Amino acid sequence: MAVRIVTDSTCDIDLTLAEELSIAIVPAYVMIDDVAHRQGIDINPTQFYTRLQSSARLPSTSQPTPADFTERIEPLVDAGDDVVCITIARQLSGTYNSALQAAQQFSEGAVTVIDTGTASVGHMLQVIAAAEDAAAPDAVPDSVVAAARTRASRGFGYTMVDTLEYLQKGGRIGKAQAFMGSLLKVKPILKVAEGEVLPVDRPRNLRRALQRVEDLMREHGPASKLAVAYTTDPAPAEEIRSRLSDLAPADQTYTVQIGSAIGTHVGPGAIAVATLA
Amino acid sequence: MKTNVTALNGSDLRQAMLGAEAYMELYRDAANALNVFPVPDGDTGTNMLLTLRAGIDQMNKDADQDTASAVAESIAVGAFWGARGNSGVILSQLLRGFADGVAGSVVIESGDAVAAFRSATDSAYRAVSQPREGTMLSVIRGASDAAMLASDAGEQDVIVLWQVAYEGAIEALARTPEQLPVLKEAGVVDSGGLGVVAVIGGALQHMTGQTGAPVDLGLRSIGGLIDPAQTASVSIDSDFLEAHEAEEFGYCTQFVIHGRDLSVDTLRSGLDAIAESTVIIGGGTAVRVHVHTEDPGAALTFGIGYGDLDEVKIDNMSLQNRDWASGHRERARPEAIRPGISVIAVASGPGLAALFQDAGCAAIVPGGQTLNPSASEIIDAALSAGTTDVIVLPNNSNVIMTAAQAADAGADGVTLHVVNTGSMPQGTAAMLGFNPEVSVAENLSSMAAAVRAVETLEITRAVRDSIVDGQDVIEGQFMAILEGRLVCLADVAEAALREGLTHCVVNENSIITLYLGDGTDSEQAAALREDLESVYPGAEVDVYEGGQPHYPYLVSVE
Repeated sequence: MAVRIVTDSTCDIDLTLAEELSIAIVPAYVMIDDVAHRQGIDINPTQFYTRLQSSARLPSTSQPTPADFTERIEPLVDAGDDVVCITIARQLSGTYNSALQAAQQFSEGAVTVIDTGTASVGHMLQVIAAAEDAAAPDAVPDSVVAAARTRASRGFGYTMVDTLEYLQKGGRIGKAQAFMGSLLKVKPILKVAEGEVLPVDRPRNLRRALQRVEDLMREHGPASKLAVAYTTDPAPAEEIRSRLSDLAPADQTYTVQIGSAIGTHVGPGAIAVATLA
Repeated sequence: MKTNVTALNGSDLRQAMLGAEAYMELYRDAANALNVFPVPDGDTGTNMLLTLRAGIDQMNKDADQDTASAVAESIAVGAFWGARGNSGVILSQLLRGFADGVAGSVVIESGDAVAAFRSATDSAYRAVSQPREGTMLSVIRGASDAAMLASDAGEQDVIVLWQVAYEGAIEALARTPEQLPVLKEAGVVDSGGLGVVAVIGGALQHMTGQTGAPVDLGLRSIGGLIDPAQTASVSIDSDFLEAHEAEEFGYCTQFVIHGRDLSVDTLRSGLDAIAESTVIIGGGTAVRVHVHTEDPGAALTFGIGYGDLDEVKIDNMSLQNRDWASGHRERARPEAIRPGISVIAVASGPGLAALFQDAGCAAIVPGGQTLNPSASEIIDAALSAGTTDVIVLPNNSNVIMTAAQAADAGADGVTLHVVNTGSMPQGTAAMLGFNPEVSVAENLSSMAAAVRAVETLEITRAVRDSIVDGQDVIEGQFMAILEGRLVCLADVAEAALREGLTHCVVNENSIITLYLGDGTDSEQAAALREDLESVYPGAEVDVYEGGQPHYPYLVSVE
């Protein structure tokens, strides 16, 4: 009897790390020119961003089906494990609902679904922390769930995009609509709060945007974990990581490439940074 | 000359104000030409004339008023809403004070006239946060002090007192170069002060029965400093005067109701039943109504039940388009004023207007560099924004007071706030500091901080010879004006810009933004950009088509 963590692929966790922590991943889909690709399985980020910028129609994303979750969860439950499924914010994706429907097919209490209220690296850090809890020798389902729920309300992070065009086309722009406008070449900084994309600031260039993100993260203070992510250019993400290296222990700091699901919405040139208290 | 006139009645005051208008018009170009900076914008004479004219229009509308007090009140109200530019705002406050000074008087007797000049002076000084002598304030005070002295000496004839006030104003105007060194250096008297003299003198002409074509009062040679040959002519684009907001659907229906005891609440509840986006300002004997409706006839019929209608204006919103706003962004028309914050900006030039719209401005008030907008144009734009709070970006130092006047007046259900942006580049910086998701106070603070982080360099061409900040300026030379201070002169615009930038704080983290004026060659600008990038390594140089008149380049360094 163990506690097992299941998540969806939109958190872009490194697959080797996921394997080490026994995290089961349910892939999201990205539709390119009417063909469905499983994220991280049928298409890798490099292939995806090439297609994103060349494809005549903007790719679209699609959440895993309840059956996709059931397929991954069933063997775990059959083995007698308790399952905690941690997903991208329900306001941003139907993934949470798919997981919930899957959970209902198992006996009550066997599968708990938790909405992270965020996306990308913020989501990933919550998954890693929960998997570490679950790996503890004395882990019990209730405490793993309680800790995961607490983290869901305390996520913190920012995203900087090169353009809001992709968020708008994908219908996820939310209140950041106020920052639309393409004449001035600004780098909008956004945050996700309670599942909603909110505008934060719009510096005039990348250099100022990185400074602003650094300042915002510093205002929030030190953390147990920190993660940075990028879609196409790792340099600004690495720059932020090194500037913030004193905020979290080095072995609890992660860099990942954002995959197709989130990448469709934030577009090339985006970076994200998140911490966990 | 009529003498031994002990009092002016309402009809006399009407006649006097028509004289004030006629002579303000006569001396408008002279006042314009007295601009200390030989730049072709912010014309004092034009702003004062248009403000006065707005007062006269209101006076003519209120034709049934026959007491002096009511006539003065009409003028003050009209001038308040029509105030343009700093000098127009001060004139409107002067007229407000005059009306307060004669409040309740059926006729103006000598004592009332003295009180009115005193009150006009106090009110004008209060309009300015840091009053300076050597300005139009000193001139109205000169008039007031002279009238008071004469009255204390026993003078009872109101026309003689007015004549004394006029002479006092002329003396005060002649002193302005001694009080304000920039005037002396430029070889001019204060332009707004000349306007005040023209207004008082014009009124006097008509009071004494000289109502024919205006005659030269010799004001151009006051202080022996003004060269009449310097007067420039200024044409006013009637399109700007007619400028109004654009709407998207239905009929935008506006009218004024003149009646008795008009209640904004009663009118609103009635209009809400038949129209949308109801906005009503005013109250008492006059209200201005602005509604959106599919049936403008019903709104007019409703209005006529409360009094006489005037200034009826019906626009088919679906047919309107805004040729100066090339943004073409779909803007949802608010159903009514909703809780929230939006920003409106004063902008001249299609490129700048589009830039502000693109960056999220809810409405653009055309003007700024050319014709300064009036307080009521700013209010109208604020109402069209559709939110309870509206932040106004005046984007020109000569529009800041008008925006403040509009904000002080406010409007039904809408609170206006002003971020004191004195230039277009400060305006874009402020706009980028705006975030509708945070409070008004946070926005005002972050937008003001964004303004402080920007240095503005303006490149324009001298319209006449002058001396500014100790430098001889020759007509046709390009001036680089940094934060309102002349820093260098050159024969070509690009050279003025390059040298002007050496006075700015530029480092490898700077962003230099060039807004190209109407007619500025974009290839030349591209070459300039490359040049600047090599002169200032690491700095980013951005170029935008501003399309603004008179200024080949507006530059910001941040």
